Parts: sequence; C-alpha cells; structure tokens
Amino acid sequence: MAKLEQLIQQFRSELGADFISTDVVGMDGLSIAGGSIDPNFNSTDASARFSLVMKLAEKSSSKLGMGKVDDNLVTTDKAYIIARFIGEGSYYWGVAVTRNATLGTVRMLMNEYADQLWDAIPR
Amino acid sequence: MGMKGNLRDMAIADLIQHNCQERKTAQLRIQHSGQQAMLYFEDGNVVHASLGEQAGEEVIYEILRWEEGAFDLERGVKPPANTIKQSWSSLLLEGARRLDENNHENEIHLFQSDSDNNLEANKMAKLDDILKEMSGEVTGYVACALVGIDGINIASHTSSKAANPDDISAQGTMLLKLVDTSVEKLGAGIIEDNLVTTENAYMLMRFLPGKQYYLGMVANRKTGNLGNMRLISKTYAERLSKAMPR
Repeated sequence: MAKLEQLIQQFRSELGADFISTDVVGMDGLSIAGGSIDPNFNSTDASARFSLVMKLAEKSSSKLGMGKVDDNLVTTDKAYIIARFIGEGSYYWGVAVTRNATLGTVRMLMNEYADQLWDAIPR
Repeated sequence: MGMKGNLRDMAIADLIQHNCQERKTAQLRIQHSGQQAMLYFEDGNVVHASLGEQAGEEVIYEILRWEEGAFDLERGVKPPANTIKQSWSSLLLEGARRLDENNHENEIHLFQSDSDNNLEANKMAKLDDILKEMSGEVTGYVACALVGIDGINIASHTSSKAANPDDISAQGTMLLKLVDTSVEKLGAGIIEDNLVTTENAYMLMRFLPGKQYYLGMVANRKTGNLGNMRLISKTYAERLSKAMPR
C-alpha cells in the first residue's frame, strides 16, 4: 500500500496546481488509496458514484458491441473527471483536475501510471 | 444490514440502479408527503412495487417524480409478490420519458409528427442535414444523433448498418443522466460533455443549452481522433441548438 500511496503522490506532483483529487477505487465503490485536496470535492462520494458510472458504461458498451471500456471522461465548467479501469477491471482509477489542466497531458500521465498502480495493488 | 437516507441526497432512479446492478435482494421503503411506497429487489431487477392500493410498474413511474422524502433499505427481504416484468433499465427509461413529457409538454408537441406544419417539417429536415454535414467532418465517423433526454432520437445519421442509433441513444442517455446526477451531487460544476473510450469506439455526448437534448456521436477507436470529435461536437451542438424548432 505504501508503494501505491507513493505513486499517487508522484502523480499529484506531476499535475501541480491543476490537481483536485485522485483515488484508486474497487468496483464496490470504496477507495483503497488517494484523496482530494479540495474540501469542496468529496473523494469518497466521488469514488462511490463513479463506480456506478463505470459499471453502467461497461454494461452499455457490452450491449452495443463496443468492447471493453477503457475510460470515461466528463467535462464540466469547473473540472475534468476521468475514470479509467486498471488491470483486469476490478479497480478503476479516478482523477479530477481543473479546467486549466492540459487534457492530453493528463491522459498521457495516466497512461504512464496505470500499469504501475495496478502492480502496486496488493493481491 | 440496511441503509437510510433522503431522496435529496440520492434519487430514486439511483437507488433502483444501484440495487439492481448489485443484484441485491432487498426491500426499499420510501416516505413522501404522508404516502409510503415499497419496492422489492431480486436477481438484478425491481420485481414488486406498491403504493397504497396501487402495485406494479405504474408505482415506479409515479414515485420517480418524488424529489424529497426519507428512505430506508433492508437487505435480505424477499418480495411478497411479483408485479413487475420489465427490466429496471426499461422502467427508468420509460419513467424519464414520462417525466420529460410532463415537464416539457409544449416542447414535446413541437417534435411530434405534424404533417400539416411545413415550417416544423423543414426545421426537422434541417437537423438531418446538419448531422449529415457533420458526419463528413468527424474522423473515423460511425454514427450520430440528436437525442432528447428521454432517450429518443429527434434526428440521426449513420455510416454503418451495424450501428443502430436508437440503441446507442437509449444506452447513452442512461449513462449521461447518471453522470449528470453524479456531477451535480458532487458539486463539480455543470456538465458539458461525457466521453467513453472503449476497445472499439469513442462515444461522445454533449448537452445542448438547457440540457433537454444532447448531441451523441460514435467514432471508430482505431481511426477516430478525440480532439477532432470534441471540437466538431462543440461547433455542431451550437448549430443544432440554433436550428431546433421552438
């Protein structure tokens, strides 16, 4: 778990001021690592709600024959919220950043860290 | 083990979805303005609902209007009857359609087929033209549609017989609504769009102003381009909004 927290800290620092929140979440909606730096963004609630989003996305994609879901990106007037399945899909990784963030960079960083996070989850 | 709460914090549609997706066997009691509704979940569906003398699907449609009230969920309670045959997703879609119909009756009338009204017919044809034009600008384009928040297409276009815009819109609407509720409850701002990346496709949904309609589009994952999709969807959502019959 220490390795997981360390990776999350590293990821946070790479995002700098645009970082809002990140969590590694089981498909039961419970976060196993991470947190929010914004008191107005409750990462526990976000983890639970986006586990439902990811489950529905997976179900819809399967019904439409679009294959496995990689990620779901929400754009609001305040933030980008990205939820991405990691490993074999029993966890997802949620990240919220401000609208000032460069979306391409955030996605690139997530590509870079996804496998490392999966490897760091105790199994 | 149970759960208690208020509909202000968790909508009935979310409660239904959660319990069905988790395949819970449970009893949900909801109290609203002196009325008490009972819902029963089993094997991934709502199998029974009652409200006073009423039972079955109509109860679900009725209580989906409730925005306030206390609820408590008791796990492991078996349903006393089986009055609902539809799947939970069909119930929610139909419920959303009825809500939308009530709330926006006047608007809905504008979109009902009215062959006597040439002006409206022309506007609808214009929407089809805009979608067709847009299809030529999206890299890896597969399908697109202008969809009401009830999940029904107002106009659609597809490049492939394999892609059924009606199915895509029905699934996309459920997802967009869940994302919208989640974002609202989290206080994370006003949703502009939602993009799902899958093994084979990109599926983008962008609300038109007023959030009663959205533009949905699907592109091939291998040949599509995310930046292109987001840019084109933004430009065309504005055009479609201006061209909508009022």
